[in-house]
Amino acid sequence: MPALKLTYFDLRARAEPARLMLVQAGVDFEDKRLPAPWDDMAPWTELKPKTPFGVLPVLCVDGEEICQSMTIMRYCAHTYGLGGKNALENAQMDEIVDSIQDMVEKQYKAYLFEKDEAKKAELQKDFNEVALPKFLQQLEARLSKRGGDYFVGSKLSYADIMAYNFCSELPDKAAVTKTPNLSALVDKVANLPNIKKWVESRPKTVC
Amino acid sequence: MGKVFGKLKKSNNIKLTYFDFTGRAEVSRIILTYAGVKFTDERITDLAAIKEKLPFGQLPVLYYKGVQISQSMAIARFLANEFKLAGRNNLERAQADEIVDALVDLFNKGFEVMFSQGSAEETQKLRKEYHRTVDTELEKLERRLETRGGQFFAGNALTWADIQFFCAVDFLRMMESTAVEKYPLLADLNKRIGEIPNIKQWMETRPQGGH
Repeated sequence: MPALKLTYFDLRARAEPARLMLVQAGVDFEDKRLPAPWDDMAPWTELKPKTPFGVLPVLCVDGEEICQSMTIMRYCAHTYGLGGKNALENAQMDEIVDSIQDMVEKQYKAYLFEKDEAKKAELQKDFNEVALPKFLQQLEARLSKRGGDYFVGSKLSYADIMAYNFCSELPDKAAVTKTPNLSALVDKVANLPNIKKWVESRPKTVC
Repeated sequence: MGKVFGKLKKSNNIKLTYFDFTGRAEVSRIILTYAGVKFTDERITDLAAIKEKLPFGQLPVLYYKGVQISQSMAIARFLANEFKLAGRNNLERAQADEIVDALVDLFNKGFEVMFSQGSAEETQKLRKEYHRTVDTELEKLERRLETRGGQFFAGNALTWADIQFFCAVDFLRMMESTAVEKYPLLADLNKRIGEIPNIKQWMETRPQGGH
């Protein structure tokens, strides 16, 4: 088995997707956590120049370093049985995951990055009242078209786990009640034994 | 449209729809062109007219033998895999993906400048910051390319990461940046990609939309 080390801050944020893949697949890995930059900047300041792109997370696989959160997630998914069986299935999964990431960035901007209070309120309003409901409907349509149980290939894949992670990180988790198939999928993933155990025992962090 | 596009119009059941712009579709157009695959290069002027029919309301969209895929990188990765430009194993694929993702981050920053809705002063500030970021990122990419052998970004063979990089340099040119010239390995890679016959021909004859 390769020696796997995932380095990130002590946050869920951009590393949780990869962690969830590894946890679901039952793969051993070192879950290295640096203090969040706003708690203690020093460890990250020291490590940053030693990383390939000056950003986290970084996955170390048998001495090879891989960066970029979605690349890491995808690598873990494909290596440990959560990918598709051909390029088309993988593309269908990627489509879901990339669309989710677009929304995640919108959410980050509205809830974390925007500093101007008035602009922030406007962005949050747009996110919750316009962008998110529309997006959830689009996901529901895609899911229903594929049979309603899983996003791709009638089996659990990284698309389903990413959808679960996204929905469980929403400011208003009740937003998914209007999309029944998606809501059922989120519950199903939440109750997978490995995921359930991980979520109950993982460090409790602000994001 | 040139004679080249008359020939390419026969779709082979493959259609890529986007704006008349390089943007998020060019990497896929070049992958298809490099692979010598016939496709319909559809360019839309009125997104509102078709928005509701799109799975996530956005372009580009690929229609591939009856299946519809959206999300620019999902499309490009799929085409790269179909036409053997993705890497030969999971690790090489991840190495290519890593570069592609880093470049998308850079593209997105550039789009923010290009489509800035702020005042002239705010846009100028964004632009300055963008060019600083370009330099930092190119330096990291130069080092990455060096650790991978200096010729290609993954598996020491042409992958879509190299093509995405070529598109990034094309975009930098649009943003009036020649920063890549400061980095010898990157500049050489860009030159070599541009000299590949199918890609050279594409660059000389592609529609000049949005430039």
